[in-house]
Amino acid sequence: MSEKGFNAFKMAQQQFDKVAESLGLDDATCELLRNPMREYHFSIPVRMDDGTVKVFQGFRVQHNDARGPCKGGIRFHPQETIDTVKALATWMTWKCSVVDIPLGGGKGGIICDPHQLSDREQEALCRGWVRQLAYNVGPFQDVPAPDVMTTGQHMLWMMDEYEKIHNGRFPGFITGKPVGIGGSLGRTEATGYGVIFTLREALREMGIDIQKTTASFQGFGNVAQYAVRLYTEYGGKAICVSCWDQQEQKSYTFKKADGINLDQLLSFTDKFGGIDKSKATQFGYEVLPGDAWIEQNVDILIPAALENQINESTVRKIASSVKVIAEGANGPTTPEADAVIKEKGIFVIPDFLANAGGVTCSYFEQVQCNMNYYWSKEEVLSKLDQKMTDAYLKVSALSRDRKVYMRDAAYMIAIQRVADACRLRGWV
Amino acid sequence: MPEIKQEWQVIIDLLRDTDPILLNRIGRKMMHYLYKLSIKQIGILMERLESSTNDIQFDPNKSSNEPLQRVDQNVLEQITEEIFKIASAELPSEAITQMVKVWVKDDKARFLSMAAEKRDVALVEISDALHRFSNKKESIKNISPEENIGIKVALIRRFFSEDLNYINTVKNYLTIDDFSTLLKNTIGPSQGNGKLGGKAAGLFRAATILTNKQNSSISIRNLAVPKTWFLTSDGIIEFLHFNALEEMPNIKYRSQIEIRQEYPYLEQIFKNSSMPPEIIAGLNLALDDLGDQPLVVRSSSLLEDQSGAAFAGKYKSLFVANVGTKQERLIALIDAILEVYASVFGPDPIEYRRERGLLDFNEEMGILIQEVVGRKVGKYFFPAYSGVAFSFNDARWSKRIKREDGIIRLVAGLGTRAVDRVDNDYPMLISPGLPGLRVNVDPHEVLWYSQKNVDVINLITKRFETVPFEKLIREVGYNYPSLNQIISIYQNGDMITPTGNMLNINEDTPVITFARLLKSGPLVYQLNDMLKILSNELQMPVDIEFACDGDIHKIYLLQCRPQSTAICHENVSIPENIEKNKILFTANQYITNGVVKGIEYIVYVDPDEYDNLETMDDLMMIGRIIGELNQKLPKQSFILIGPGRWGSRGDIKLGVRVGYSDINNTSMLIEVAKMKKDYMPELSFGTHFFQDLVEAKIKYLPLYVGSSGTVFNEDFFMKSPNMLLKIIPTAKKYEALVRVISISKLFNNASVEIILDEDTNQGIAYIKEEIITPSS
Repeated sequence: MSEKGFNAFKMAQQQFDKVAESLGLDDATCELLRNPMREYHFSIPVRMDDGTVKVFQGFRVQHNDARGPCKGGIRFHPQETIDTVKALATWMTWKCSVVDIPLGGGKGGIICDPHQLSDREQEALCRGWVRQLAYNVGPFQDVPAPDVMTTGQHMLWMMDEYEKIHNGRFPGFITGKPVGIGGSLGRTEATGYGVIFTLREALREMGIDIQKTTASFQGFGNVAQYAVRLYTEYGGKAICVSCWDQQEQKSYTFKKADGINLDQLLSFTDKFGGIDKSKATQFGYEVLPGDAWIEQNVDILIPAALENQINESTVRKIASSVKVIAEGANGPTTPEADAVIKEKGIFVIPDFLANAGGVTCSYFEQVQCNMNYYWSKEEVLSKLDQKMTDAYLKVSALSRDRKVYMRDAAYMIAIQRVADACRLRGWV
Repeated sequence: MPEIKQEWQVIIDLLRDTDPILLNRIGRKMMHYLYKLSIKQIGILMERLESSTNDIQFDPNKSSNEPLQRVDQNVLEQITEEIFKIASAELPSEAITQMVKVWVKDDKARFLSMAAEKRDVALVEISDALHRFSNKKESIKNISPEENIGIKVALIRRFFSEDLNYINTVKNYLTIDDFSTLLKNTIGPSQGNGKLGGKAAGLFRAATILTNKQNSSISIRNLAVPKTWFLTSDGIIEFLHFNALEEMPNIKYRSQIEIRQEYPYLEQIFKNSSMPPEIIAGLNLALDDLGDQPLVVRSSSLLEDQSGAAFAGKYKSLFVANVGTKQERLIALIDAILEVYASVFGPDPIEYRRERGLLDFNEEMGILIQEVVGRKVGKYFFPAYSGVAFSFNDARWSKRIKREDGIIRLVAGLGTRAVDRVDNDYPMLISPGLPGLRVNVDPHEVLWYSQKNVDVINLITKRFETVPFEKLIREVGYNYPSLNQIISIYQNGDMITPTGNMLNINEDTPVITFARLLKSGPLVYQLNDMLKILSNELQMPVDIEFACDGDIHKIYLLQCRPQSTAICHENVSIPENIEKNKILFTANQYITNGVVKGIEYIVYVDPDEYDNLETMDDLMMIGRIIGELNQKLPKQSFILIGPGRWGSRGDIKLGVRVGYSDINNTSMLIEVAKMKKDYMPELSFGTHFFQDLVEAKIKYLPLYVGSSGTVFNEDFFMKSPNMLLKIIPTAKKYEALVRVISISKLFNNASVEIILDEDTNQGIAYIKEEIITPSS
């Protein structure tokens, strides 16, 4: 990788250093947690469709498994760098820790572009990856999952290869599998519901009756749709969602001051969360510019679309009525905007806590697989509620006790737990 | 005891009295036969013949331009006698008898060769002659190979084409009886001598060749051609006369504006005119034969589908539901034919002809009336799938894909969506050489770029309609033919290929992926073989249309023509002697044919500067600036040159984070791979919005800077005045990185032209100065 320029791992380390300092961690602990515990680099030869053999480079980074088996995705990426993988593995350790699930952080990948590979070649690549690591990963060591350009299908090929090598059935080796072959129910709902579970607790702590609140959502994909559903079920009034218009190649905000009827709105929404403008107008929605979602006079903002949406230029538009921002998307707020939000005194539920419903459900999948007993959707979602609520309460308590910003509190609690585990094991 | 005469002698004696001319012809054939056997005696006879005629001719006072003298008939008879005398000495009697009999039979087919040879012979006469020939006993039809080929060539010329390449490629594969079958389904002015037109010729040739190759290629043994009726090209002339519209052919000489303005009116005049009764009678017969299956009325003009001018999509092809009473069906059919007739005088085809110097050609329009391949499902009629396949792939999404492997554009329902480029909808693209290598792989991507609408014929409204696929499936459900071959199920973010017929289409989302068909069905083999056989036989790349009614083992060939020159052989030769300082870059890898002219602006994102950006905000900002430039610069007037992978969704460092909407106004997208310390970055080949680029015909070029034999004028890009701040005043911070170069600001009357020549694998971008003619 280039010496200058953006380096994700450097950024992850700087972030860690800042928190470690505030936690007063000793040098050895810092040294251990700043870097991955293990890195695997290996070659995967694949016989291509045209008969030639091509050798691919594979990785697995196990950042830290003091709290439990590593957990993290496998990325297929044409110019994957070890630094990116290391950074992502580090963030996985903190994310699992913040929701207090007994897992560590890992990440892996293969340098390849699936667009240049047939299904058969991808299958060979998946099996090749597992063959190289079969004794270093597993339900009790390191549990992979889908990530950039990998899918449930890839996970099944990998699981099958792992099971062949170990001569048994180990569905808990990998997550993100389709329902019916080791997948968990509730995965679709998990992230969106998780956001609202944490929001509900935040409002309760703030003494705000959720039934008297209004909210504006950015995005109308999977996360936003389920978030709107649960929020309105709790009695909140969602007045705004924004979405991307494929035909016009720009985004729009759809507003209904007296509250969105989700099922009605979904009846004219396509699979990508695109809302039909003329139908929306017909049903009494105001169609506003794409960035209008942020300037609404609401109590709650839920960015649930892309990264960097609350930035230096948009943060100033946030209305004074806004009391809570629940980050459904990954990295929706830039550091510059974060400073302004802090200043305005808006309560933030940071992304890696608010949207940890996904990874929690992944953990549930693994638990169910290891038991070979699968729960109903209700059971999954009620356990999710419990986990998310507990996680939130601990972060907010720390934030209050130590008078730190929620985002900092979340990192502090996450890193502290991992550091504790390392110490208890006698590593440091 | 009198000598017993051999059978052949009896025949010869009889002919001497009854048909001396035929006897002469048979005598000549015997002479040639003996000559080929190198019989000495016949050589002597021929020498004698030559010298005797020379004796007669020899007169030193005569000029060589003077006509020869006639030889007496008696002399000719004498020669014939001598030929047979030699034959009887050299050959067994049975052989002579056998040969004489065949030659007499040959002569019985003379009426056919005469009818075919004469240029102005009427359709009715040839039909009659072919009919007579076909009805003859097999023994009589057993004519000599020379005669056979002569008749076939004459018929090919008469009905299809005078083009020698055409004749050569088809003559050995068809039989005289094929013409007999063809003419049974041909309508036209009975006294006319029209042809069947380009599309008919292309289909007939391809079907003939493929049918003959069925034994050597298993995949196409179930090839079929839909039942087709032909209306000859002079039908339109007859129609114009009948309605006193003789001035129509001269409309083409009017101005383009006039033609365009008048055309809607003209279409209505055509639709309100009458078809000549003779043609109506023919169409009646056709409808009786075709039954009530929906029909497609296809243009088949004389100019159409010739190599060099494909006329793809220039003339109309119309669907007719063909339901109702016979009278209603007839009216609808005539209406469609008249609309196709009117399209001969439409502004687009006339402009197309004008551009290619074909305006003075006396264009005539033949018509194909073809059964639509498909099934009735509920109130709709449509094929399970259909599409087009090309010998050459000009839209490669991976460097692993070879141009000569071809490309398939596959759709569910009628093939119109594959033939035309439709906004916001996508056909499945397949390279027959590497069918497993798809453009889209991630389930979300597959869903996004899947076909959303299906073209069908609605039998109730009697109209051609476009129906959302999901709606169609909710309506017709499992009755959709071979549904499990066509769809995958999108469930919780996974794209699941059906295992059998147990599909849960009501709860989950069915997506058109053709997953099973492409993985284990015969389609790719069928099309691959068809493309290979046809391009080999015709010695040129082809473009075929196909459809499947639901039985995946059977494939219907609907059309075959030379692959459009506009697609694969643009006039792309790179001019010589371009001054070195006018060259912006050259390329020599993964070139596809194309010319982009009149480029006024170059938007250049410097790879090194981009690499040095440190924050995510900065990296994101570049994408936003490109999006803004895309909106502000005049459409199609600029090209985008940038590092690595445009639109990279994973690591933003790999390329500028843009969506299709941020680049959709560019005329060309160029990805620069610049050697890093020890590796050359991989380029995306536009995969992030490949299908959008293909449908919008935006050219794509990968540029490997520093690879041997190429030029990259970095100074020009980095040192030319930058217009960025004039267009986006707030972008000061990124001025060194994003460079907008206005060509007209640098040079008078100049623009950039990019020429890509696939044959030599060379591409060049250079400053082209317009030559200004001084005004008088």
